[in-house]
Amino acid sequence: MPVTLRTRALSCVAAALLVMCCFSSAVRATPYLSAEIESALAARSGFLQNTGLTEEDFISFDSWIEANGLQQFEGRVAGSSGPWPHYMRGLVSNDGNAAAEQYGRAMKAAGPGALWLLSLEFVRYEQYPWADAAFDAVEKVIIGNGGSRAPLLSQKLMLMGNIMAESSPERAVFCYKWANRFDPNHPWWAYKKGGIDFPRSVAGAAPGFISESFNVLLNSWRAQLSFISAVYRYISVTLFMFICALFLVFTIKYLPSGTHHIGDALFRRASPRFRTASSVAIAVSVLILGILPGLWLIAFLTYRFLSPSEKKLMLFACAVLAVSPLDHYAKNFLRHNLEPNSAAALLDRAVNEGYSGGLHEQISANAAKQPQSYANQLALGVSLTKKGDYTAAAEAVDKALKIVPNDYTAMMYAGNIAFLRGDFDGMDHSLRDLIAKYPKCARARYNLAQAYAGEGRLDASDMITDAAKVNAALISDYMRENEHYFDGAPPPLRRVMQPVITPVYFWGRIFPHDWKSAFGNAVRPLWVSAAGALLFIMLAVLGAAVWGKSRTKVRTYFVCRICGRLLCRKCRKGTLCEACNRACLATQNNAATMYNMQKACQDKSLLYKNITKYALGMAVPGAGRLYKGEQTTRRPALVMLISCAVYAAYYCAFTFSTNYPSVTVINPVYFVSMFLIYNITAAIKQSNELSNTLKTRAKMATNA
Amino acid sequence: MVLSGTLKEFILADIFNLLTMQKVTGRLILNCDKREGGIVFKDGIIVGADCGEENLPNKLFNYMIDIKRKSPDHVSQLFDAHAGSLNVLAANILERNLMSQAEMKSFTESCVEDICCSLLTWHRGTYRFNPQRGVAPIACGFVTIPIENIVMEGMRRVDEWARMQEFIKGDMIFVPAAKGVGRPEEFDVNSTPEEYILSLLDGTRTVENIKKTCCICEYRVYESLNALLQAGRVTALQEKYSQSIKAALRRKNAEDASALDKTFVGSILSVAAAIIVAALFIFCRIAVIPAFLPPPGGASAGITDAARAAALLQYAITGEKIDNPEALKRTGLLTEKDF
Repeated sequence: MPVTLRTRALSCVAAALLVMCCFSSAVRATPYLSAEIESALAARSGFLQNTGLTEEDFISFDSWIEANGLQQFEGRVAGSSGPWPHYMRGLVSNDGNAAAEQYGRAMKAAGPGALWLLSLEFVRYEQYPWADAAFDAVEKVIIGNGGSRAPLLSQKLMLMGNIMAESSPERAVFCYKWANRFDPNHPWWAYKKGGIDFPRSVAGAAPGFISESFNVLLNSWRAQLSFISAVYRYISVTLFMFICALFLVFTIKYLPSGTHHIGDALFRRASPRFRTASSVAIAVSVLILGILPGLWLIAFLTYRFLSPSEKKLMLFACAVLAVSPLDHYAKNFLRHNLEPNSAAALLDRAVNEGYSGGLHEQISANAAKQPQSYANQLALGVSLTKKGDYTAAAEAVDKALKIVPNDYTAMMYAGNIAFLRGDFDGMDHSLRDLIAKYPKCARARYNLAQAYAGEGRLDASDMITDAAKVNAALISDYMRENEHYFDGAPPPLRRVMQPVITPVYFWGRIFPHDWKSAFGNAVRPLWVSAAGALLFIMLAVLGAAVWGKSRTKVRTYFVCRICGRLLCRKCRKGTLCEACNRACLATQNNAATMYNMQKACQDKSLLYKNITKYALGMAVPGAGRLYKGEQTTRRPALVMLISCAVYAAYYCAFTFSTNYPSVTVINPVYFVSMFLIYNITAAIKQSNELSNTLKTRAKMATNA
Repeated sequence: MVLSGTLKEFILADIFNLLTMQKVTGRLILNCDKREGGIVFKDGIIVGADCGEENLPNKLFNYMIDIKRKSPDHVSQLFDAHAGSLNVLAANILERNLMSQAEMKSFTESCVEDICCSLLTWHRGTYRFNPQRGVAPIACGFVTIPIENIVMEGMRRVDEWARMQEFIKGDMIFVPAAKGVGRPEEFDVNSTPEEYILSLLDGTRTVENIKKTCCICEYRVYESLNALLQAGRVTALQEKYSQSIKAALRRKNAEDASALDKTFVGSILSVAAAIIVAALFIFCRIAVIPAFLPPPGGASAGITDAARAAALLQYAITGEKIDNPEALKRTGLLTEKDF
């Protein structure tokens, strides 16, 4: 395989992995149709109670019939109405035609909730044609109410498929197929379907799943927003970890020096070791107050000891720390539109789902709370239209159009409402304006054709042809669905096409329009987050006032010439630290012993440094080299950044949360093992280097 | 033979004569104040001597580093390995070709002579002779100096020493008079010790410091400095600098003496202070800061999307109505990630 193709394939797979890790938070199971299902369950329960049956009897009805006989069953259900007596009769009937007749009656007697329950029962008993018919009927109800999807039903089917995948793969595949039909905005059906015959199915299913993921990403603004949020989160976590790793290295390397003057001021009489340890402990304990103030303090204390290249890294870290308080707002801004009660989410639900009381209440509350939000007004208009209150709907849409005069969705809805009210002139006016502004809008042309047909104009078919010229697939699919479900006589809401919330519309109109409310939802005030930066500025001013006055050129700080410990002119007059000085006194003027002692001290100090370096290198690959103080910090910093990206991947994998049932989505923890290779390799490399160093020392000791 | 007494009763030259006449073998130990010196006799002939840090191993080590330019690593291993047996050390040095036999003989004889002569200047203190069967571990084996030579040279140096000390003090700092005096490639320490001493003058080292770290003995250091001074090749630093150095040394000594007493209590106090500060921060974190922060937003009390779907499905297909999310987890429909 050519390298370019392989690279492309790999990058495609990597991108798909990243994409699918984000989808689980994008797809939400809105409660649309849950009320109907709950009432159908209650009705079924009432029926069973009336007939003296229990839920267990119903679930294992075959066994009950075997135990009690058909006559007793007939006796119990006699006089009962609703779909369930018919369904149960069909279930026990040995005659296929009779069973079909009973099932047909059951479906006719069922509302949307009961139809859904019936379809699940048909799946349970592997009556696939009837299950298809029942699901079809549910779908008919959805699109007849002006909706296009029902995520709750889709999720339930995914869960059901997951339960059945092992015992009956055929039933699972059937469930996944319908899960996709009820909500096409997720790729998990393809994933679970591919997982049925795992691992043999991988080669066949993987490309399908990847392309499905990309399709969803292209067509769903929720998926795009989730993707951007996830990428932002990953980048921010990576950066945060990088900053922490950087501070860890500088803390280990320079904080004892940075806190030297604290030790001089407070613990003059303590031994050097305790003086350093106590001063460092005091500086580090600021981290208890908060990570940001702690990091700012460390930056302040260590900055003067850094090399020029390290200073560049520290400046970058400080710049990131300075803007870090905005992270909370950025996250909020990105996540806001994914919240269930955001204007965008409610508008999306209003457009794509049929009318439901709960949704309408939420939209009304939002519109009352923020009357100047055009998305709220538009959502209210759409919901009222689906409720059938066209006058109020027209008022809400007018309000939306006053806020955003040329909005595509609002203009489309204004036309649709006019059509539903029988105001063909109004519709003609609205849609002509819309077509003039958006000439490639096939939906508007199709709807205008409906207005012409309503007026009995002959050019209605020409307008449909025009619409088909713009988007043939859309128009033909729509007409075919109308023919299939409604025999060419669709309900009013289905006679005109509903607008859709496309990603382009979302990013171009809703997202920028709603930014104020996104920032308004921020919980933490800015000053709390910026407290660390304020502390740093205060300390910097204080430091400049204290140290700025010093005009001396004498180097205040220097290191012990034996062990490398930091000393200052205040605490030592010579060039040896106290510990080394005492050790030198113990040599009793023997030059060879003195030399050996100094050498031993230097070796010990070097060994500690090496062990710290390798330990850092194992914990955060790259940090060891930065600690060692290489001439250029660019390469170690880059390796550290890569390591932090790996750790950020771990973090994101382990803190992965989902709005979709977790058993049906890919858990990113599965990919952690791939990244572990990186850490294991780094650990082996560092251990190898450490063992080489120890071996060299041992060899030198033996020679001596 | 038991021989001990004070130097007030007998001068050292007389003791030397006595030991030579008796042809004794052993070590004559001299004490004056806190100083201790020793002269090693073998059959009445002087074969070794030491006086504090002025001893053959130290001088040989410095010779190897300064004159022979050997690596301290290499040399220190050798000296460490043979510490306590001077004859073996000297034999090893020859064996490894670090010095020639002639070089060794002239250097060690010169050192021993210098040390003995310096001991002859002691006019008070005690002496005690310690007879030994063999003196190999404390003598290098290349030194045989008749006492007549030592006594003659010693007498000469007594006068010279007193004269030199008038203008060369141990805490004085000398610097080369001419700038850019480079270090010669090779020295003959015995014949031209001045050149060697000149190379050691860097403007920071006191006479005392040079004496401790160089490979020649005290008298020769003074003698060389005197010669250099007479020739105008070195000049002494001004008095004020010497005074400040003295003051610094005094402070250092005082600090060193008091440091050990103070550090224990100081260390305990430093740890206590660090713990108190950390505890204060913890208190602020727990009790003070939350008062200034807005209350955290309550977690959504409602059932999650996935849990709603799972509960409805469970009820529909098993007839079991479960509202408790934990129970739903047990059915396998949900996991911890769903909450």
